[in-house]
Amino acid sequence: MQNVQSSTTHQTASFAVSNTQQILVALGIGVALVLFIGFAPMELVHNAAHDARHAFAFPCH
Amino acid sequence: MTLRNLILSALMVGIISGLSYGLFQQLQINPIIYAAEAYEMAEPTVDHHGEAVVDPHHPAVTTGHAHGEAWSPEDGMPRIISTLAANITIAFALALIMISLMALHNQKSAKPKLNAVRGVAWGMVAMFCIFIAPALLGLHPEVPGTNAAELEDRQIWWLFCAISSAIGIAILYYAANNFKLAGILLIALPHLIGAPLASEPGFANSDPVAIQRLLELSSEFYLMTAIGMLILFMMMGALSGFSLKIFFSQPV
Repeated sequence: MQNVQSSTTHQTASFAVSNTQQILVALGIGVALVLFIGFAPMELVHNAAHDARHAFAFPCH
Repeated sequence: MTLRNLILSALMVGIISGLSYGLFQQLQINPIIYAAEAYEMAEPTVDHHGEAVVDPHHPAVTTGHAHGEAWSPEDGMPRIISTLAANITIAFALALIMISLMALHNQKSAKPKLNAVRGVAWGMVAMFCIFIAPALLGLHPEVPGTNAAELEDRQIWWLFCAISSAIGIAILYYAANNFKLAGILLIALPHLIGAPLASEPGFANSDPVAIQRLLELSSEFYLMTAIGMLILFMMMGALSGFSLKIFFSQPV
């Protein structure tokens, strides 16, 4: 029981170290994905996501 | 650890909220899109009831405006699945952005930590930045076949407006009083510059009956996208705030 607790504490401490960088990576992935699905000019992506782009009121064609 | 939690939370939030919005779209928004597309073609035939007649010899009429030769989902199930997948992916991506910013907030700010209720407030701010400011107050949600300015200009303005609004609201919330005016200016700036609008407002189709019908469809489209976005962002905000509370408890 004590072991479990100490390993949890250890984990929390280690995840605080690189936390901010990982959050920024996640933010970057999110932005890139929105741009790709919602704004990329490639026809294939446009056609597949067409109705969704309209429904999110993204500028479309 | 953090990255994995962020992505898994965003997946959960994105699938639930994106699927809900996708189903709402299939029921309430797509009928409007399909109806508008029938009028979008260069030479639509309109019968005496003002309903567009779809020419069975030109099936392209119903698949909308697939430019060029690229793959485009067939009408019916493939188009529905493709749209649902896009809804979920966009919702996942937006949720990932929201959850990341919430995590930064929890980590850096002395303001109250996130929970489901505060998450709803974040959802409303997101709706302002992503839908109300760039679309309702700016470019307007468009049914297919609406005249509009150059696509690239509109996309750049949209992104500028969304980012400027978000930074403006962040300044209003986080910054010291002396800087709050800058926040208001950033929110107003895209609208002072003005959205790139069509030089000739209206629709590609010049038939008066078609225009009348397209105007009706446009106002239905405004209303339905607004209701749908409200549902989406409330769910997304609440679920994101909730996941922050569960998965990102502060290290002691």
